[in-house]
Amino acid sequence: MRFVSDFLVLTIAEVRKYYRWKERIIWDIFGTLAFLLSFLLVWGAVFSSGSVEIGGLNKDNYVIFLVTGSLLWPAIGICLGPLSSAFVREKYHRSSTYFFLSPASRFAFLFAKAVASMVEVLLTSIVILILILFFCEFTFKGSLLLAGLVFLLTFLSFSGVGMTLAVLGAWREGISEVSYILSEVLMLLSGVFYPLEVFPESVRVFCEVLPTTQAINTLRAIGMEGATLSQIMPQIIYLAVFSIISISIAYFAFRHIEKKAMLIGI
Amino acid sequence: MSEIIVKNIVKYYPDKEYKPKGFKRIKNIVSPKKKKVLDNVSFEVKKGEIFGLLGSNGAGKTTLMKMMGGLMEADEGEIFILGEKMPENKKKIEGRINGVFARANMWWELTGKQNLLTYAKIYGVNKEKVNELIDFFGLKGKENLYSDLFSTGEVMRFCLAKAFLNDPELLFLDEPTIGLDPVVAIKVRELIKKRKKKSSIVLSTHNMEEADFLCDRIVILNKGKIIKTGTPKSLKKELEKKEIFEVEFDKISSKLIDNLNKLKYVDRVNLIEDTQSLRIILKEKNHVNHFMKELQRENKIQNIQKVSPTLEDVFIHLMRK
Repeated sequence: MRFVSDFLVLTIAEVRKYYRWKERIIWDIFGTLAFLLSFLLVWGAVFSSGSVEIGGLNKDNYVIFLVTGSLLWPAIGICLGPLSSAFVREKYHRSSTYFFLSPASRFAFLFAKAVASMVEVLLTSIVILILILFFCEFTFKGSLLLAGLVFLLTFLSFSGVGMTLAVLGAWREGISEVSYILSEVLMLLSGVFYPLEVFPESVRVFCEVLPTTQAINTLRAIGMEGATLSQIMPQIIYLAVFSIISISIAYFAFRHIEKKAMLIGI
Repeated sequence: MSEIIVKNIVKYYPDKEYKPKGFKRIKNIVSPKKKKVLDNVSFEVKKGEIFGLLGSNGAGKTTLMKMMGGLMEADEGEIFILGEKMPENKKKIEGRINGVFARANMWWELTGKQNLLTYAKIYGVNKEKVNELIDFFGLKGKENLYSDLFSTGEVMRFCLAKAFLNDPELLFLDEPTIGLDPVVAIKVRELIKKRKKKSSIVLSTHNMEEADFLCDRIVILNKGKIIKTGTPKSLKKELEKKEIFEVEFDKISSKLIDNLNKLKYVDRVNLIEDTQSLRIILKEKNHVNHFMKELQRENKIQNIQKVSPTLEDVFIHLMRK
């Protein structure tokens, strides 16, 4: 009960904190939009210059390909970026002392940060989607509900990773900086804005097994090919298992680091 | 029964000043060289008592406060707060304690009021209490500003409001009047004094007048060790063999201070701020006559009066020992 009430209070506080960062809201929306528009222009130029198909990408499907990738990526990026540095920021601003002195559930604090990040991503994604609809036409072939499920599972999977990095970052601050680099590397290797066929075979094998690639490909299967639940069940199970494992790791890392933090002070 | 029992506490921190080279550097990363920041510290705080922690910078006051608040673990020794062992049983008492800590902040991305309301919900306190505290600490009109826009004093006032939210049985106040203007500082001291009826208070401060006014008992820490414990009155007895004068001169120069300091009867000379007066502590009472002769020989004195020792005199005396 304590966990639930603290979680609700802290989630509201976290959403309010996000609202304070008006520049970040603008960056979240226009940054994503700028990437999307750049790649829309590039791929548009490629296909109008006579190229027929590159790795399954053609003039008929490249818009939905880019839209799905660029809408799902922020859900992953926020976990590996801002969420992963949540504790470091608290530590840097010395705002965690009073929280840890209070009777609030400590894991609720971390979980609230994750859920607030999801709210943030959902709100910005809706705005981005509305803005995209002004610029381009595309058809989403599959079920929107199923796409929502993939979106949620992707977020849960990576929020576990983000929370673990946040906890480790509270112990060793450099870890949070590494997570930003990891986020950029994963964006490069997961085919967010281009098909994996642009990579040499040896790199592509590695790219295919990345959970980020799996999540993006699953959403694309729904949006581009109209895949049904039964067709994407293995990927759904993969993401669900990954969510459970990553959140469990975050929880145990939190408990472990909490004990360590007691030695050096919170 | 004691509200706080601190028994033989020892605490080590990694020694950040130790910067070895070569292989020793790697060894220091794996197993950092440590330095003792608290050395065998023991004391008890009784119910309804204001207990002062005094000490120079780096004496270990904040570390000790954090340990009592369950924010840090001791390497050796035991701490019991409201009958519960810390930090193991912190969960059982954390709704009954609260405090302000030096350099700790509110959430800067939230307004002052949002901060207080969030903590009010965590402590299970209603909105009216928040409004009451905003009024009391003179924060009306500031409550809807973001916390990063506050002055140091305003941050402290919001932190104090947070500390009083849950009517704690035990209050940790780490330098609570730092950055406050004199009017608010007096108000806060009066609040702390009144609070004594309901709470036991641990107060850390560099303001000796404040400690003298507020504390029932005091421990003085130096380099992690307790060097003296007692009531302000009993601590002042430490200087009972000495004689203290406040002397007003025509004009004070650094040469005058140097010359007085060189006198064999003089223990210490301090300039009293914004005056032409010096506070002169003699080593022994029977030196008074010799000192007076010496003093009047070359200096034009406006006024001279014998004064009682203050806690600050005691503190400086103990630190110099």
